[in-house]
Amino acid sequence: MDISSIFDISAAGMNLERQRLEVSALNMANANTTRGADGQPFTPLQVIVRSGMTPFDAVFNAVNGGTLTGAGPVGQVQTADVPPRQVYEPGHPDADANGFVSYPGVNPVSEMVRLIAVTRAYEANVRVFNAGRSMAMKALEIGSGR
Amino acid sequence: MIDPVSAVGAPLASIGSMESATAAQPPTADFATWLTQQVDDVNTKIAQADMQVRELAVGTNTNIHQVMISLEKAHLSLELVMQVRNKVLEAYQNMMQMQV
Repeated sequence: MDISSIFDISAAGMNLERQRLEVSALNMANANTTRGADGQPFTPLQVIVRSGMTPFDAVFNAVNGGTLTGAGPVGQVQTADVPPRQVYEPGHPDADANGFVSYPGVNPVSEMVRLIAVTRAYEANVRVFNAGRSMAMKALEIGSGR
Repeated sequence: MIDPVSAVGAPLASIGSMESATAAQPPTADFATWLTQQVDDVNTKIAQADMQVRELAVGTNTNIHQVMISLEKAHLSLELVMQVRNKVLEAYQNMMQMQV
């Protein structure tokens, strides 16, 4: 396996964590958005992580005994099925007939926890990258100890 | 009870077969061609990294880690070529110091 494929896998991991951070930031920023472009309150988003391995890679590995690893994980952004938060604000322009306003079901606490998890996961990917890099640098030192 | 130390013959045998597999095919191009190709490769990688740094500075590319990874890849390739150059120079110096 080429050492640069390790870099590519780490890069895919970093891309994924960045995407999760983006989605988290969007959720936090829209925590009080009561009306979107479609007239509905903002729906919280979530990232579903799937393997980047295509069926072709799997068949290729099975037949050829190869080591196609795909390009690491791939994140898909989907709407989270969270019920909206109902707040009684009769004077609000987006209030329904009973005076309740539907706020997005964004949970600031879980978003904060996700923020920490994303940061740590990104750091872990950077550590893997640095490990591969220092391994390659060490390999280049072979024979130069004279 | 501690297990007795087993022989490491099996992994060594596989290494031997790997060596014979690589030794079976002679290099198709000469060393100068290979070195030129590697230098071109390094040049391409450095140009790519440079381009990405420019894009980051301008603001069209906001993927910082991708830029850093490209820089590191370019650095590693350059380091490899430098090491090969060192070895070649060392061999050349050895040849030139030979008593005639």
